[in-house]
Amino acid sequence: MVLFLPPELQIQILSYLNIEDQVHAATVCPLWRTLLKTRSILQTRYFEVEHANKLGHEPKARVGPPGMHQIIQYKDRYSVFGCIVQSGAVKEYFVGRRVPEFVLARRPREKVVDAKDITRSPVLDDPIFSPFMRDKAYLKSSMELFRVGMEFRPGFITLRSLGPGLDVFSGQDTTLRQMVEKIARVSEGDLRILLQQGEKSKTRMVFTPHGRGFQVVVTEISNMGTVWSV
Amino acid sequence: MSTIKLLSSDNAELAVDKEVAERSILIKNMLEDVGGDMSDQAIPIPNVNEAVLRKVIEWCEHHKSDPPPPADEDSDSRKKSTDIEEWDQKFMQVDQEMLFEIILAANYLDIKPLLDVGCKTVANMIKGKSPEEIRKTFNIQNDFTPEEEDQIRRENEWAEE
Repeated sequence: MVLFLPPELQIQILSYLNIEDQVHAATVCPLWRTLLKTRSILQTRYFEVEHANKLGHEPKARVGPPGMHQIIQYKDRYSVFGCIVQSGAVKEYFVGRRVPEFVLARRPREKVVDAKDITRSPVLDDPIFSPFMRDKAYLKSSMELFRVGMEFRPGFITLRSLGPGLDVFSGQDTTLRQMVEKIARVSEGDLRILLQQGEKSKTRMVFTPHGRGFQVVVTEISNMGTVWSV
Repeated sequence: MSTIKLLSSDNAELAVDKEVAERSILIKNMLEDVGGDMSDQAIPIPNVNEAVLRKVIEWCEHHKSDPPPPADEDSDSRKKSTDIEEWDQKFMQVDQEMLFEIILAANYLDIKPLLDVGCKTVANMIKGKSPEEIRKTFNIQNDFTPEEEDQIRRENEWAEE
């Protein structure tokens, strides 16, 4: 019986799971719920520097910005993490899959499917950047480089780490939740001007890995009952 | 090649090549401590029964010429990938009780690569399953209190398929 194994071995077993499987496992029994809160498990939720170097050598390894929380690509490269924003406030967090949607447009659009509401998940209280990263200088420079700016191209809106923008980090402990809330807040004014959207409109944003940070893509805006993809 | 003897918890004496037995860091260190000559005396392995010990020796035989694992203990490739080589996959096709016995024996005997393979095998049995399916697989009782259950449901709508 797996629960009779020494806790450190159970932690090793659980450490091989991706975030989604960890979330499932945490609801199996009280012991696993506790074990999944340990530091050694938290450590498995971040992209490693070595991951980036191994690109191409280990096809199954998920590659993302080193030191960043894997929720932004929690399963494979089609996984997305995003939120729904209204009036600068985050209404919902979700994970899902993005699929290309080839419509009559020059640029292929993407649609989010299988979205699951994770608004209350404790995973969102994990720091966005790894608290375990050995290369502190690298981490610091990542945070310094990380700016949220805004870019507008016809049919495609990207909020990305362009800089100069607004620093979204208050420090290394900034959680996923805090980061997303801040991005929602700082982007609200820009969105309203660019899209001339009203107070009641809802914006769906997804966060995808991009260089050493990620880009924030607005995938959908619903305004007064109308929904359209951007 | 020198041979040593191991004595299982149920008093079975098994003869093993020294080189094979030394896949176990516990046995390796023990042999170094006594100065090598254990040819006439069986080493007691009190935590492991004969069936499990035979299985562990079978693994050590097959992997006797593996290169030593990388020195970096926290090596990420070890942590993340649950890929298991084909021979090991077949080797691990045993009932759950045996699987957990092998894991415990590998832990006790300090055979890290075998421990990793065992833990990965269990992790692969968890992957992609719903909480209820995981409970069924391992025969785990759902012993959350109703209050905890309620809180978990609210936290983890994600986990509901």
